[in-house]
Amino acid sequence: MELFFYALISGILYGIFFALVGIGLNLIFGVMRMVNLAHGDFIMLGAFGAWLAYSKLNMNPLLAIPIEIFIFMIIGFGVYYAFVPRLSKSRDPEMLSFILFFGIAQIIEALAIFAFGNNQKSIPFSTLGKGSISILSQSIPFSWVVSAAISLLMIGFVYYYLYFTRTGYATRAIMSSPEEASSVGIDVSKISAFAMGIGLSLAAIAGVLAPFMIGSIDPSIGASLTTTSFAIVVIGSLGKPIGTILGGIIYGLAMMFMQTYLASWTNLVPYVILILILLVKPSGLLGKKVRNA
Amino acid sequence: MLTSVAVPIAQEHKMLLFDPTGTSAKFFSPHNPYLVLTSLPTSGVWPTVLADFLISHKINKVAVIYSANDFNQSQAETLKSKLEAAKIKPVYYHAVPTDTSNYTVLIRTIEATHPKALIEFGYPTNDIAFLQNLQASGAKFNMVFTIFPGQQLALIEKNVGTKALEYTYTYPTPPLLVYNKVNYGMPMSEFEKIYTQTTKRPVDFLTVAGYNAGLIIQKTLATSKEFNQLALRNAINTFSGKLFTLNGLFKINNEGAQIGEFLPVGQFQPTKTGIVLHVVYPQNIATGKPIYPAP
Repeated sequence: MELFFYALISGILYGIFFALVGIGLNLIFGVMRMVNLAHGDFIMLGAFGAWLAYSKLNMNPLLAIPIEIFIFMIIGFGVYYAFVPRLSKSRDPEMLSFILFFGIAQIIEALAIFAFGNNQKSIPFSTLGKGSISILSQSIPFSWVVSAAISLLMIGFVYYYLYFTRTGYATRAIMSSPEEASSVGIDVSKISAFAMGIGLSLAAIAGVLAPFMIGSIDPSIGASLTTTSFAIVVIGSLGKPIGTILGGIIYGLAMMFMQTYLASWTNLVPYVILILILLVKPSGLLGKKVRNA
Repeated sequence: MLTSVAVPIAQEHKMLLFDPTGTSAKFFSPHNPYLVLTSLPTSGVWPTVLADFLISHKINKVAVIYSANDFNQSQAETLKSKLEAAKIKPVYYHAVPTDTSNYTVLIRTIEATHPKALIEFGYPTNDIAFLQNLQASGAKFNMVFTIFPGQQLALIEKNVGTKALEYTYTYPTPPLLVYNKVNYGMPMSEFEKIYTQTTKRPVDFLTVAGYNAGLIIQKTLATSKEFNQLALRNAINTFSGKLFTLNGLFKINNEGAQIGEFLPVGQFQPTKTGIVLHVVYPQNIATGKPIYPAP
């Protein structure tokens, strides 16, 4: 029973982190209807930013968060204005976005190998606090608790932004229907660029926490993080950022219970859940049925 | 990784492949005369001394976690069979995906089986994640064994810190294992001096393995009477078992696998200035006594 509770608590903490990993991808998809296949590579860049801050500048990696938010917001605006308006005018923007962002992912990975090499890098867990903390009599690494708390804070920020700010209302209006949002005077392009910036910044923050939750980092981790993010987003519901929290927690719990009771099969978890969800509820757990008039 | 691709290509094109460190047992077969492993024994025999150490110290509750690949699986299987032959059944014996980077829950699960020794077979990335998670989890084991601190100490120490390595066990390899009595090439002390002066980098096992591969190739070319692939292979047979380099005895079997070297058991013990590795088994080459259980 002790193992069950340990897996439960670890799974929730791990899941909260993975909700943060996926939420930026879902926000971008919700607003632009484009799948950012370079999402995991932006997370990887965020992770290397934290590593640089720690190993080269002797900074606490958490202090890299505000700097990375600023840098990735600018990158987000750049990526949006360079590619998205042109893609939107094409005949099949969703498919073309797959190809475009796949290419961007490859470029980012190649440049990261040039910059950082292929060796694994890591940050000592103790930089987020030494030892462990007792939760429901279970001894949980302190770095996990800190990482999950920051993830929760960022998810809370997304929730606040979407549901309690004017820009957030506009973002949700675009998610619902870009044409109707435009007809009532919302600057779709500007709000979308802002959403892209937020999406990439969230990826970067997840990257800062990644060395503490997923272990060591290297330039090739982007692809698997994109796949996992995509699975989490689909489980929760594509285009619904808040559904990603549910998707993340389901993923985290499934991973930890599998590691506890059936370790060899752990890697199958995201894909098995994804297939099950697609079979049972294709619109995702929080998705609504689409009514075709 | 590269060796698994190179072996069939070399065999198909009938080209002799000098393999510096690719030790997976599945590379070697009696039907392939085009492969020679220059450093390290094949992975299947690595844990032989480790198993003897566990048995001789009456450590009878052993947990084994290994990455699911040929290199690690062959070691886990050898260890398990040797322990079972001594009537020791591992209390935990599981494979995990090779890309596992988080061992926190696994460590907790293993802790619940109350082992007296925890053996983790993985690649360097696995060892780094495992040692980091072990330290963060606060879990304590009497004995913890990982592979790569004995081969790439600088890399592992940089990533996990010195504290995480204290009292852990490994397979020590050169330069942690010093062979100064050689009959070919430079002894370790001389190589270490020249290499460090020239490159300004510390010597690790991969450096030694690279130099050792060069020595074997040089000796092969000097010995072979003809310049064709099977003549080169036959030339190696003439000096196999007679050549002592800074990597130990070079001896191959009929499959080209290295059988001259063996991997003892070493333990990192703390000192005032950091950690020092002592060979703790077998006793005839031991440089220190094991501190068991770890404090």
